[in-house]
Amino acid sequence: MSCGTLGGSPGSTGTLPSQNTRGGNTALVHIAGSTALLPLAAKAANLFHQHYPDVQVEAQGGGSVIGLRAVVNHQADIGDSDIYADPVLYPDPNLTDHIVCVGAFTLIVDPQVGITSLTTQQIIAIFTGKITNWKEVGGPDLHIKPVIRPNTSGTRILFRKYVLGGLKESGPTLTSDSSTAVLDAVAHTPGAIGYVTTTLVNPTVKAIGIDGVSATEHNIQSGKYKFWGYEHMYTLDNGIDATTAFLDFMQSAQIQQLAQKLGYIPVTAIQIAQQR
Amino acid sequence: MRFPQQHTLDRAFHRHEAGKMTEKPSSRRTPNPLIHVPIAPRLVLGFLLPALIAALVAGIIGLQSAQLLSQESSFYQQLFQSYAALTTGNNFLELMDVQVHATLNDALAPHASQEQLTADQKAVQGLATRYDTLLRGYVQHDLLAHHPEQSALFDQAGHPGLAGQQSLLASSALRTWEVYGQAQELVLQDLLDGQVQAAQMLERAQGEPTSADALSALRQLIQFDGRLTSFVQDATTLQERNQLILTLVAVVLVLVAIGVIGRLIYGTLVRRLRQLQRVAQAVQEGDLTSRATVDGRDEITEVAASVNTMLDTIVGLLEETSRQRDALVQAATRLFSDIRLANGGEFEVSAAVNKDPIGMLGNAFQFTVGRFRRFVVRTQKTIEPLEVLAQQELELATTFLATTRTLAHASHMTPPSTPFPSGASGQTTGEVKRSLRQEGEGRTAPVLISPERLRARVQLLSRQHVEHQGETVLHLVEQIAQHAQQMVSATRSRNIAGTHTAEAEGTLEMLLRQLSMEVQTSHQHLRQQLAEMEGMLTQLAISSNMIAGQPQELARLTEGFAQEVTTRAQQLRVLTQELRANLSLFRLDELERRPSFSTPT
Repeated sequence: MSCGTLGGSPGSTGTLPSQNTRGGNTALVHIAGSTALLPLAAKAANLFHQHYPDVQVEAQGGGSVIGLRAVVNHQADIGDSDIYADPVLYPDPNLTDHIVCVGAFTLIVDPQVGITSLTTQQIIAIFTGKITNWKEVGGPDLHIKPVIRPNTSGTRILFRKYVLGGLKESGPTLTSDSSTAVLDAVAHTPGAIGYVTTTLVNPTVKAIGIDGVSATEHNIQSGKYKFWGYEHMYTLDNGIDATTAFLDFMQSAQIQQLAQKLGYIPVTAIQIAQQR
Repeated sequence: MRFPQQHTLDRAFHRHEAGKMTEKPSSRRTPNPLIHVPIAPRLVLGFLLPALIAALVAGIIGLQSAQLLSQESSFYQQLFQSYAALTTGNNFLELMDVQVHATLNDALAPHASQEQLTADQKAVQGLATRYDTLLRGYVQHDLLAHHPEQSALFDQAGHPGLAGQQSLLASSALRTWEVYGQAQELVLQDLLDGQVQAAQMLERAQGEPTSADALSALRQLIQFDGRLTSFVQDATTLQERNQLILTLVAVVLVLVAIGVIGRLIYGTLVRRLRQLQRVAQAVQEGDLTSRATVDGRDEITEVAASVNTMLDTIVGLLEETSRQRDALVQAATRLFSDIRLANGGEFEVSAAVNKDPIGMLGNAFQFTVGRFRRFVVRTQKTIEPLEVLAQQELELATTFLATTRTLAHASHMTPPSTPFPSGASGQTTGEVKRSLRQEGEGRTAPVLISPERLRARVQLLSRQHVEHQGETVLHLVEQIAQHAQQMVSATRSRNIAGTHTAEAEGTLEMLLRQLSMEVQTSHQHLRQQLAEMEGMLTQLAISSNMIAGQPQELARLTEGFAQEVTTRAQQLRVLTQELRANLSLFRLDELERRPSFSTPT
């Protein structure tokens, strides 16, 4: 994709050398991957284009695994991911992780269910099919319909690692990895339960806590809430000016504030948490 | 009296006076404290300070360079250490994974020994502990976030947010390790509990993915630290550039500092010397008010003070001169007015007893005036008798003139024998002439007689009768002549009274009567002979006519002489009056009151 060589200082100026041009003079930065990070990536792409008109940034979804594969296969410059790149699957030592923010995830239920929180054990029981009715967990007599995301979903992997403790969900899975699809499914299926990034939560669904702890920035910082993950932007060809500039732009205060506004947790907040 | 420079000096003097009254406003800024230091130490300071600054800057730059080098090396060292540690950690993680799988395999073996399992478990736990310590140690000590100066350097080098990213990666590694560690513990626990199947399942479902995550996160951290080395290169390049700039700035600063110090020294030396020079220049041009600024305690200050003192002395001398000049002018003016007064005839001169030249001149003048005054007084005294004499002479001359005129008139009218009622000097000759003329009347024939014949006749006459009578007559004539002589002398003397004249006249009258008788007697004797002589006398008369004009001529001369004397006497009187009038202009009366003058000393 890019025939450009390394050179020049990382761009913080208004114009960038068009090293990864794909026809024409406009540099194109292609982003693919996590739908959880997509809202921020898309907005950042627009803002970046306003700052650097000669750089076009395309942000697409597709899921974290798709993003990682796209990067490794040189189909995208940046692969958004909720999960880590497994060194076994992606052994390229040049694959570089850029943590841009922290994504908080929450369980969502059909508002008819009317519960506010579930314990980890209850969640595991529900998603492994041991509990099938909401009345078993203090809800109405309603069949539980877990919405399971496909294997390419980073959110699902995070959910398994940090909530289910490695256990496998049972039940029908969605065909496409899309946070909005999960949202729609949960909103329109009575007794449904799913998980989605907090940025997309809307009144059609009800977000519930885990072990009585809701997905707030404060709870994540203090370590009480565990269903969260770093939002990664993986790159393979480091030193491409436009990409580097975009990644630096992602770290900028403007984008971090935007991330906070969108429901993400800025990296600075996590850093402070780590320092304590 | 007035010198050409007098005005300049006056101006200078007055300016100085004005300057004294209104002290010069010190428009100068606050004096440099350096001027309290003597020049030599100041120069030493001026040379030492820049040298010190230069040395200091060079030292600082060298020190900084050394610091930069050591910083760089320590940076690299630290990076290398952390890199090595993380790589070791990576090995630990991989070993752990291997060991966990080995443990699982051991557990799955048909005759799994509990000891083997425990040993494997301990091995895993040992690795886990080591890794945990290593990673936590890294997070606690080796993060860029703990080395703000280094992260700042990266920020400056155009790599912002490196520290943040590193912290994120580290926390990511830590979190994944924690999750993996928990999973591992659960797996081991299951194994210890004999639930090999569950352990195997857990290992596959949670252990392996989390292990991969932990490994992935750790590798990202290692990779990041690897990338840091290239960033360090950028940072050190930047730092070197900064140092170069700093060196240049320092050089410029040192130059500026040297310049400032030089300027200060210059200000404390050259400017003040210039000021001194300006003062000298101003004084040279006549401005005696100009004074050097006396600041500080150095050599220039002393010179400035000396110059000021000198100028003060000069001004004092000028004041003294001016005062003396004023006194001289005053004395001269007074003397001049005295001279004017003296010219106007007023000899009142104020005595200026000064020892200066004017005073001496005045004294000399007054001495002269005194002498002159005495001369005038004497002259005045002489004039009065002179005037009287002139008057008398005039009167006498007038009288003499009148008498002469009368006599001249009478010589034409009176008969020759008629005796003169009053004696006069010209009578004797007139009488002789008339006698001769009467003798001549007797003769009719104007026969020329030779003087020898006439004399012989006269001798004949005198030998008989006339001789005796002639002697008597001669005697009388002598007496008359004597009296006449006395009269003449009497007229000359102004002291002889008229009584003497009357007495002489009486005597003269008597003598004349005698003479008349004598003449009558001789006349009878002579008559007869006169007839004889007539002819001769007639001739004589003719010849005597020739000399008849002589008495008239004499009278005319006498009259002329008398008139001349009168005129001269009148002139003398006029002159005397003029002299008197002139002398009267001098006010001698006032002089009398102050008769003496001090003699010049």
